[in-house]
Amino acid sequence: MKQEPNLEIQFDLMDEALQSGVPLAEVDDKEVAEALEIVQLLQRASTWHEQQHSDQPGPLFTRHVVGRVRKKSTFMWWVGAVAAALLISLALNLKIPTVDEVQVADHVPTIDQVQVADYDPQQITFDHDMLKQAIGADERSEMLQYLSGTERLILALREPELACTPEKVDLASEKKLASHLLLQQKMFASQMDQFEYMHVRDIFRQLETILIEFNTFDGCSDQLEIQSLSDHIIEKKILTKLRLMTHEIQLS
Amino acid sequence: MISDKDRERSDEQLMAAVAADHIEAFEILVSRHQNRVYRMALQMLGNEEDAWDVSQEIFIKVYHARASYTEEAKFTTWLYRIANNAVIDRIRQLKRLARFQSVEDSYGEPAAESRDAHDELALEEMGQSMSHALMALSERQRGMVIMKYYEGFSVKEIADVFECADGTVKATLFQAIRNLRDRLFDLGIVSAEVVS
Repeated sequence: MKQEPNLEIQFDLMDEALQSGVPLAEVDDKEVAEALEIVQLLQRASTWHEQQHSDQPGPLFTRHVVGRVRKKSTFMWWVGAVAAALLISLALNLKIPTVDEVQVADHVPTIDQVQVADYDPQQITFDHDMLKQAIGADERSEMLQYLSGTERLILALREPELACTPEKVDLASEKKLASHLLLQQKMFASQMDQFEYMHVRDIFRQLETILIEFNTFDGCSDQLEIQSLSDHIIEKKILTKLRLMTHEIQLS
Repeated sequence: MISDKDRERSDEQLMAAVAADHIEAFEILVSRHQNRVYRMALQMLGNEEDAWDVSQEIFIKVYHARASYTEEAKFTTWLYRIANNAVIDRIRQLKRLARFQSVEDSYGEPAAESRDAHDELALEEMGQSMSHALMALSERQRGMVIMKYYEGFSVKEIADVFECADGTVKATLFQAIRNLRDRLFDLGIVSAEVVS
């Protein structure tokens, strides 16, 4: 963006006067002198502010942040492990027992019993590429569902159908959808760190922020609040980005 | 276990270790930068509780974005870019929740008796007035002013954080200072003539 060149020059003059400690009365340019006075006040205010807030975050803050990160990492590890186990069992085409069958079995087989079982491991083919493809397809399908739900939500925000009162809009069902989408997003959030998704990470983050905000709305929300969020979505061209991303994922 | 050697490593080296999932390196980075990040958030938001929450979010975002960090990039520039975006997101969220007015009000108007003469202003009254005036700036102007005059960033560093040219930073800062002056004039902190 092209700036008024005068402002840049005036800033340099003011900064120069500040660095060299020129008294205000000796600054010829009135506007520069006025700015210099404000900067001197800012420096004093900074000192005051530091004194006011000397009780800054200490070890408790560090522990809290690190604790939250650790907790999330462990949780994601478990989610990953469970998902991988499920996928492997599907890939191996193992029969998952029904509840009745589980109840009928009165004990878990021992290692000896398993070894006695007559099967030939050579008969089981395990195609790693296929498994990788299956995981990739699953992630993409999860993302597409998420994007389609989020698009529906954004469109609903533009033209809410039900009114609670003349000034308030009924968003109860949309709020429910938003919270479902947030949960869905968590299922593939860790994938966003992968190189292939790096270029779409920002838009996913913007979508998450919108969903969180949606979730904070009341069941009967003020039209102005909704309008404000809708304006933000239009301004950031989020719907266009979302559709482009959907298209890209469909083609990938 | 964090060793003394780990503590001596540069931000960039630590961040590279965080990218390789070394949580101890992350712990050192948090403790090294938390005060500065918190102070900036507090100045931008004007509320300790929000500043505390958003500071935590910033570091959690840093951790989650660890894979995208490249060691060639200066860590503080990258950190403050994340911090600035997070703080601005929070401000917008607060505005939408219509709580922002109360945040602004929390600074309170300066006392009437303090408006007599600039020379007699106590540091506290002036500090409060300045915080009040800062709140009236746009998020971008406020962010740049705080980074420059409260946190001591250079123009180049601010330009890197905001991803704009040095000239844009200078022009924005000068415009922000003009706006601050108008606001402080309204509050009776500065007079029409420069007091030397």
